[in-house]
Amino acid sequence: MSFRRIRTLIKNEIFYGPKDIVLVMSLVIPVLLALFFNLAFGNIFNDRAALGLLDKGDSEMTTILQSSGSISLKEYYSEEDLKAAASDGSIDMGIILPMSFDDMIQSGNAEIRAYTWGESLIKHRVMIGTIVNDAVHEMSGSILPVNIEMIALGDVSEVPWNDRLLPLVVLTAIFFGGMMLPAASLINEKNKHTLEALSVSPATIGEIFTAKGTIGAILALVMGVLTLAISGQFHSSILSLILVMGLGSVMASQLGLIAGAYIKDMNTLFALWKFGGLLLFGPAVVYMFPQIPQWIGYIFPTFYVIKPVVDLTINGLGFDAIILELLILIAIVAAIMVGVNRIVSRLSNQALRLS
Amino acid sequence: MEKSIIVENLAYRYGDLLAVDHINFDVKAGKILGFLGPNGAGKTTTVKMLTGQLRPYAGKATLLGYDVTKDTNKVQSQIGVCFEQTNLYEQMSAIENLKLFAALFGVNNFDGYALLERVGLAGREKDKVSGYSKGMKQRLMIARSLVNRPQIIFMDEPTSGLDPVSSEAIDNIILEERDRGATIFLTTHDMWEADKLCDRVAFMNQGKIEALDSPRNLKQQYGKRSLIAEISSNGDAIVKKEIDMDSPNTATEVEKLLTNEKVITLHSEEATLEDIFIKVTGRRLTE
Amino acid sequence: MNFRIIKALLKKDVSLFLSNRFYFLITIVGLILYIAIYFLMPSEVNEELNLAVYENENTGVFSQITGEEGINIEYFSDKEVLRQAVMDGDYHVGISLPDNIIAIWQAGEKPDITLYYSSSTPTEIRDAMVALISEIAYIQTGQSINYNISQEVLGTDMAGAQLSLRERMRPLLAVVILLMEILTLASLISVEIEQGTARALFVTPMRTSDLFMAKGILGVGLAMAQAILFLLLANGFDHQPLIILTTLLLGSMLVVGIGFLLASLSRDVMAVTGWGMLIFIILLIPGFGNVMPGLLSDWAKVIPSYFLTDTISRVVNYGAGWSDVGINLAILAGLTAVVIFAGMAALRRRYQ
Repeated sequence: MSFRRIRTLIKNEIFYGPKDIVLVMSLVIPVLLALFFNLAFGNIFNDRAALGLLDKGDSEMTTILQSSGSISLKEYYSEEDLKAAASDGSIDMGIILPMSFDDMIQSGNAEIRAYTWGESLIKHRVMIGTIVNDAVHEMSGSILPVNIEMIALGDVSEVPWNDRLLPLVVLTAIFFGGMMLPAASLINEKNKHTLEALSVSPATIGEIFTAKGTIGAILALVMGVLTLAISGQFHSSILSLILVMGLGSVMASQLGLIAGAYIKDMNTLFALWKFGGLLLFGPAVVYMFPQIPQWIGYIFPTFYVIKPVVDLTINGLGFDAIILELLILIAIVAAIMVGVNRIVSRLSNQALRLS
Repeated sequence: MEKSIIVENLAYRYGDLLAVDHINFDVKAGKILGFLGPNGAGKTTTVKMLTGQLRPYAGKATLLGYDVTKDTNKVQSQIGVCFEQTNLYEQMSAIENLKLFAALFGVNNFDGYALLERVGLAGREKDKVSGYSKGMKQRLMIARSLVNRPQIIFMDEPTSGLDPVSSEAIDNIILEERDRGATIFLTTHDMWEADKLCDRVAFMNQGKIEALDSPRNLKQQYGKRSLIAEISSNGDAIVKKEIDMDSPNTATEVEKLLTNEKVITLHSEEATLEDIFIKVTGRRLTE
Repeated sequence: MNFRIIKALLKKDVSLFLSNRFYFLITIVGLILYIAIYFLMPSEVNEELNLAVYENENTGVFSQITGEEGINIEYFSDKEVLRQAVMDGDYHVGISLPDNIIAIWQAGEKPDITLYYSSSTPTEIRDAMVALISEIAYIQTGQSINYNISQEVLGTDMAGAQLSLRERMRPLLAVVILLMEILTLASLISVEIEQGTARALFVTPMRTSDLFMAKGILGVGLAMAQAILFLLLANGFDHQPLIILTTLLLGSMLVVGIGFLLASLSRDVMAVTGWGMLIFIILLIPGFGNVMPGLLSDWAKVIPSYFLTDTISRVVNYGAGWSDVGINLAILAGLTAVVIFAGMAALRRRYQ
């Protein structure tokens, strides 16, 4: 294998390779997903009641409510906006604190107007009512006449939804670019018969595959790091994360090379992506729903990419905790590499199969 | 005899490039006109205008009495087109491809099997086209162009890239159609094919028709006839000698040759269409 | 327009679609997947806070909220049984009151109340229960504060009759099924242009209007058939089926127009699939507004599929009638007409 030729092929791929929709999607879709999930999607399954607040008199109540973790507080500056938000479901309830509300509370004749969203859950209304009452007590200086001790039962490892979606985002970033780019590149070259032309040059099939796989892996790693950064999870155990995601990227690019070697057209590639997505993203789905027996995740090869990432980021564990999964991942990558080598040998011996 | 195709001052531009430069010709019914020329001469553009795929920039084309730009529908219902590039439904079988076009043309009681047998695809009717060889695909393309028993058939490089057996089979089909009374418009840069099949040939070069006549007349007008003799000299060496057949001294030289030399072979040779094309246009057919 | 030619073209397109076993399988599997997703989604809404309370004697501490809407209290006489029930996820939290809690308060001291929670208890509910206990303690010790809340419920009050997640997802899934056909149709057209078979068609008596009609019927047929099947299984036709069918028809036609535009603007099938997926994601955004009310602002209304999703949601989930969704339908019809004509014009140029 000649590194000079591989370098030449990589350079050719970067400057003249497909800069079309596959590359655009490899760059854009993971970022879009990361942004979307972090901004919006996590809200769908949480049970946090949303309270809108219009404080006309700079009440202490606002500060107390802002520090409450049980509700999601949104402040408004006009009754119209508050009412509109309650009307369309942006908030469960909107309350208006009148001028001098704090004084009114002290004197015992305060009035709060509230707009309730018709589709607000009863328990959200109850929760909001409870929190507001509690805030009023705190504001009025009442001394809490009870000690409350909280005891966790069983294995309490609650993960917020933003974090539960992290594996899905990272897997998409690594595997979309890592797989699709080498696969698309190979398919393009086959269709245009340029692969045949390369194969009768000093460049070997192995070198061609190495070049395409390298670019796919680099793109996958970059996108994986970027999505972790967008999700706010790329701040500790950086080297370990890069190692794990690097191996995952290599896995992705190898799978892409295998797909590119066997698939004839882009239609089939995208169809395979739609269909095979379940196999790739299975561990992410298992992680999203703790009700699903977690051992199911072990079946999927991508589990050994995503579990170390989750352990290093969300669970805050160190390198020691991921060694076993890392070793399994290395074994998987090696096994796939053997498969790719076999394909390279077969193609090298049967040059006619290149078209 | 009526004229099936009448072209008057036809022109087409691709941007600044005048691909077809105000050409004029006509084709009688039941005749084969060959359009010869190198790549980029304007042959395919001409075909596209005549078949209604492109609107002429200038001029007029009348097919079977109809103006092709005004009565495109009427023209297209009576022509068949065999394209240069294969454009079959590869996921369908041969018979399905033919039946589709028969339905589009409104052909009643269409016998696709007989047509496929005619082009040598009997037994492969139900196979998907994606499994066909290049020659088989080309035969199917020709079969498709005959689905509606057209009065004019446009064949754009029908034997390009084919083996001699397939080429001959296709040539025979072309001749059969001519015998049926169809007018054939054949574009090619294969001079042998043009010489063999065409009643008249037009030399197209850079958008213009440089010459238009029967192959025989073109050869007579532009060609040179020679006698080529191979004679034995000094024992084993064989030398070629050429005698101009149109010279006043031809008979004397032939007599002298036969008397004085040991003649191994003697045959006549005439100019090829390619030779004539080069002479007329200054370019090779295969440029 | 020639119906014989349209019929021949339709037969060809259906044959091509069915002969591509992989695509056909993906379509069927996709449909089954969407139906499965629908049925896997929760069909009920748990509106209540479920509390388990342990007390040694009937203290009446929680009497003020017992029977209150939104709170379900079960009393336990055995602490271990309460703990187990909370661990099993039967209750959001378990509250253990100390013995003689009233006496402790009367003595002016602070009793110790234990709050049990498990992994399935969301943090916000846990914290809200702390606030609830505090509130009850204030009341029991005479520290209640007087203030009034005057409440106005905006829109129909659906307390006790909430839309389940499954019902909220229904319009989104139906629209997803429709929108997926953009890719199918655009791919079919693009393949014909790429392979040159479109050129072969154009030298026959077939006219562009015949071709568009055939493609249109195919696109509408594929999209509508799948969407109707899904909504039939998902009880989407229980109310105003005619409005739903009209909406689906307009939606299918919109899909056809977008498919035409996509095929005309894309260089090859790969570009069709790639750009198609981006368009698909954008068109999906309004659907998420139904699942997460309040997520989207008014800007979402510039997306054409908003009027499709919103109409289906309002009819299927809120019982809207013709007068309620008439404007939506009119706008959708107008947008569809524009998109179809634009698509046809662009595709005509591409064919030429």
